[in-house]
Amino acid sequence: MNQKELREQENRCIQEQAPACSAACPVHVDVRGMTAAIAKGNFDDAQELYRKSIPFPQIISRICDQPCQKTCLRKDLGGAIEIAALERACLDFAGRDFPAVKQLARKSKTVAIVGAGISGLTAAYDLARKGWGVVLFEASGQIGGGLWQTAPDLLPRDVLIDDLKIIEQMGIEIHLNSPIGRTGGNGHGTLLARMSHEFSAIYLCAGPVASDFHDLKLDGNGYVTIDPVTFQTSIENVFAGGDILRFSTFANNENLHHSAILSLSEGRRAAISIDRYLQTVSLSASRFFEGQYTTTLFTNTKKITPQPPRLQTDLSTCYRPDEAVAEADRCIQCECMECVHVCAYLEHYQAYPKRYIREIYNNLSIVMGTRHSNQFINTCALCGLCAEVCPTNLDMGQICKGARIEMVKQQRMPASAHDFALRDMAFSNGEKFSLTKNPPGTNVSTYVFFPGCQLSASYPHYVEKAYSFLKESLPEEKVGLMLRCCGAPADWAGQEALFAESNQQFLTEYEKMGNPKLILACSSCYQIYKKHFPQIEITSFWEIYDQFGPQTERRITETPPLALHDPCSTRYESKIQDSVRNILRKNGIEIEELPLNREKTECCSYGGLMWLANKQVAEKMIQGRVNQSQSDYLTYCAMCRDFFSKNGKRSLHLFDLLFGKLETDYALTIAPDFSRRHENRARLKEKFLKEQWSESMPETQDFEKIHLILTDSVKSQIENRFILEEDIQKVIANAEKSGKRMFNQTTNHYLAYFKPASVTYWVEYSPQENGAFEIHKAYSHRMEIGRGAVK
Amino acid sequence: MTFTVYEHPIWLESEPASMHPEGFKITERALKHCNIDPSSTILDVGCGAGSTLNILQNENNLQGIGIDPSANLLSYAHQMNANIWLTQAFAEHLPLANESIDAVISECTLSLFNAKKAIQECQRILKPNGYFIVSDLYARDPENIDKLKELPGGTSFPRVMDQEKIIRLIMINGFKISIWQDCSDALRQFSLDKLTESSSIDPFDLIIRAAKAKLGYYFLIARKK
Amino acid sequence: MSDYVDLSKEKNWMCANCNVPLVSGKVDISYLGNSFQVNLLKCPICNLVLVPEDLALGKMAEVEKSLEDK
Ligand code: SF4
Ligand code: SF4
Ligand code: SF4
Ligand SMILES: [Zn+2]
Repeated sequence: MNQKELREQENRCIQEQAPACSAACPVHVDVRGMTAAIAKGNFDDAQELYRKSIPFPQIISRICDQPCQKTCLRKDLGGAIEIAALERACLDFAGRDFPAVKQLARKSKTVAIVGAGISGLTAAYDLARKGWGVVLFEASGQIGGGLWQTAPDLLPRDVLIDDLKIIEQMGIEIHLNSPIGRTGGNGHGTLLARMSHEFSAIYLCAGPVASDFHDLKLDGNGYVTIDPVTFQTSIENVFAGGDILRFSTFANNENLHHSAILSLSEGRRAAISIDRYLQTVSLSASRFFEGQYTTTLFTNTKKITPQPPRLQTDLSTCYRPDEAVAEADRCIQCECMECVHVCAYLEHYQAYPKRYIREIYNNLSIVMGTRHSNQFINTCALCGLCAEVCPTNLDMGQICKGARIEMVKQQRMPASAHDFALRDMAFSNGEKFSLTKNPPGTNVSTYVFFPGCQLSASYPHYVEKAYSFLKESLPEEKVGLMLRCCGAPADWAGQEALFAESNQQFLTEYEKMGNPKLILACSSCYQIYKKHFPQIEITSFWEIYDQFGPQTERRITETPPLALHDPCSTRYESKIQDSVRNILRKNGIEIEELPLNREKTECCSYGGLMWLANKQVAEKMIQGRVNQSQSDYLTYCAMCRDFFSKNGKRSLHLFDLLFGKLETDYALTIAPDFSRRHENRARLKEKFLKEQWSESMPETQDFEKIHLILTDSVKSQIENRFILEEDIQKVIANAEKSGKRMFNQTTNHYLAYFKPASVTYWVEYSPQENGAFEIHKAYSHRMEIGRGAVK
Repeated sequence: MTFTVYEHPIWLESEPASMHPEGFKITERALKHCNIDPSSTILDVGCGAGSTLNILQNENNLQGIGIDPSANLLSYAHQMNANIWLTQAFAEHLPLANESIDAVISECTLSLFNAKKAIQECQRILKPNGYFIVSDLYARDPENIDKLKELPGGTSFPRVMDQEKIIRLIMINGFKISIWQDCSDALRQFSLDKLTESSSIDPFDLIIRAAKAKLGYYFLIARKK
Repeated sequence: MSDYVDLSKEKNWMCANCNVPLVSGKVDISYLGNSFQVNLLKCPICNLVLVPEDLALGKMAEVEKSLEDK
């Protein structure tokens, strides 16, 4: 994944888009932030946010026609939020004064503003803040323009006068009774020309009669030519807004109507242009999201209950503080976060994909990686649920996987991240487990059963039964057997080369069998072969069982219903999901559907090697899943069932119901530990070889003959430390052979270390008289001792 | 300010050049970008045992002068080469006239001194357009720079800065920066053993903190404005 | 060089090969191209080194993690 693609992906996350209300507000008041503050009773912060966008807060909060409300997502859920009333409340109830506006140091250039209506006043205010000199020309005897036409009970005159004082306080020069261009006998045009020499820029917003300014170019319809984005006229340093805009060619219905907030927004946009013009930077560059627009933010309102607006007790005044708090609390706090709500991993890191992708981007471009990015990238379960729920189908799994591949390529993938799983894969594809056999007495297969490495490790006995079942159910066919790992760990770890090698080995074996149909019992394997071997015909074991499976006897050890969990690798495999449900129905097993299942199912933490990369998040993920129902869980992936049961959830594998003993309560079975998993695979192969093909296993190595004695607590210690009994056997074999070991005079224990590959294992042990070794502890590290130092 | 760390005899036992990563190599790389003629006067700020000055004289045919706060190190330098003008001084107060020097070299010493004052002093004594050649440690992750603050004084670590800060300090004090080059690889090759031994820093702790702050190494060339 | 690793707990170990008590001494350790020296117990004759459990699971693990994240 290159940087451009990452950028594109980042842009797909719309979480940072403005909520509908702010987008519809011509000056983008942060309504959501304001209501959040008010809901907490914090009128100070709310007022501060409001003032950030609004120069004349007392006036605007009283007369704004609230275009925001038309788009408010509460609209159909009880009624739009009373936004202007809340703005008014945050002015009334703030507990502190707000300091005078900060102005930048006075710069040398001066701007003339013609017309002191709300548009001109806003432009004056914005430009004065930036440090430009401002001179206001107003034809009438007072500033405020149309504001004086509003009803006094709506906008009391003392409020109006008070709010406009700021103009004078900012040092803006005001010339009242100074009509420019409207009256006066001759040479209006020359007046403008003169002004545009005298001032560095001019903003005309004195009403519609633009034709008074003879030097401005008009279009075919007799309107003044104005750039719709920058408001620049045909004279470079003359900008026009207010009613002139409404009589220009790009006038549309929306900006035709008079609205204080629209005028304010125009003044602001003109000021941006003028400021840029004075700084001699591009007027038109990146002027998106100015004025009103429609947001692309998606907000799920399905779970929001309707609630009517909070009314004012006394209709003649505004809200009381408690009423304002109640009304603000109705705000939905619009945001997307769809994926974050369904993924414990995305939730854990406390942000959302747009931010995450930026961090990944930084991490990959090496400049300055964020601390946790490596582990962040390695934690994702690659399960695809985020893409399923995202309005733009953004797939974090795909991004994290791409980032892993990139890290491996850049040789920046920490070896420790996936090493244990990759060695497990190597074991499964080594001589201890891997096996390719046509049915006894034949040299070709029409079907091949591929149970997968994890099912074989957890439930070797069911693999035997499943193979027998297939042979009986498909009597006309030649059903071969293939034991190995599908390579998913390498794929998930971003190890492309290793994965390709594993695929090549598989293909060689597979082709030797005469290209049979592949029967898969594990849905992770299913995904691997579906995606990487489209030429191979695959089917899931469950589809075959659905077709040929017998009716099983009624079981009594489980209390119905069983909550069915679809493994995340079946997300879009409705055929498999349906087969499983059919099997259950035919056998009279009552099930309960979990709230998120089928295409919205969740991962058990095995996916993407999350369980190995980040135990803490993995546990959150599992916990979240198992808490969704009180019922016993039922699933059809060995890893899902094992992770659930390890976390204390009563869970079953579908095989327990189909092939288990009637009276056994399998929901309590404890999954085998790592050492036993290797042993189970090896024994399974041995058993198959012996019983079906009358062959024996290759010679065992010396270290494997070492007999270990481990207490349960040592067993769980080594399990938690990812140490296998075979690692311990290797250490002891090496120490006993070479004599290189330490001896403790007080405990009589021996201590030895050995480094078979990249990890150094330490074992403290005591030899027993019968030739066995009692193990007291084992630990490991990756740092190298004594050599390998770059000098 | 203590200079006990670098006065520790361990530094003089073997190759004194090993006091900073890659010895003279990085300065040599930097010098290739400069146009310094043999008649120039070069000052080595924090010259220690004088190994850089020796190389400048013997291999590059340049005459240098050196200052260092440590009398011990200077006397060692004097024993090695009596033909170099050396004087005991802190970089914050250079005993040199205004605009008297053509180039200043500071190898891994900027963060030992009060960087701002040292830079201002170097600016004062440099001739217009004079070269300021700095190599030093820097934190590539400014967010974690605090991790270095707790390391013992007398080493550079507690005062290590990030790139932005270094560049700003040099720029606002009358220089124009012409080259900044990251040479963090040099750090990997650099043996920390003498440093940990002479300063009683727990090597594990040092590595952890350095990794967290993404400790790196750079050289830069600035010209006096 | 001071000992940053508590070796006192481990003083009862001896080299079973050479039959001598372990003594404290400098040992090179390295990871991902970074190397440094620490004082650890080792056999004065055959150089067999003792890395105690606390060190392996504590400081060493932390150094490994920080260098991997670098
Ligand atoms: S519910 Fe709140 S955030 Fe959403 S549109 Fe309405 S006011 Fe804005
Ligand atoms: S764990 Fe699954 S849902 Fe969560 S980010 Fe990764 S792929 Fe998406
Ligand atoms: S679902 Fe997640 S990734 Fe998609 S837009 Fe929403 S926050 Fe962004
Ligand atoms: Zn020995």
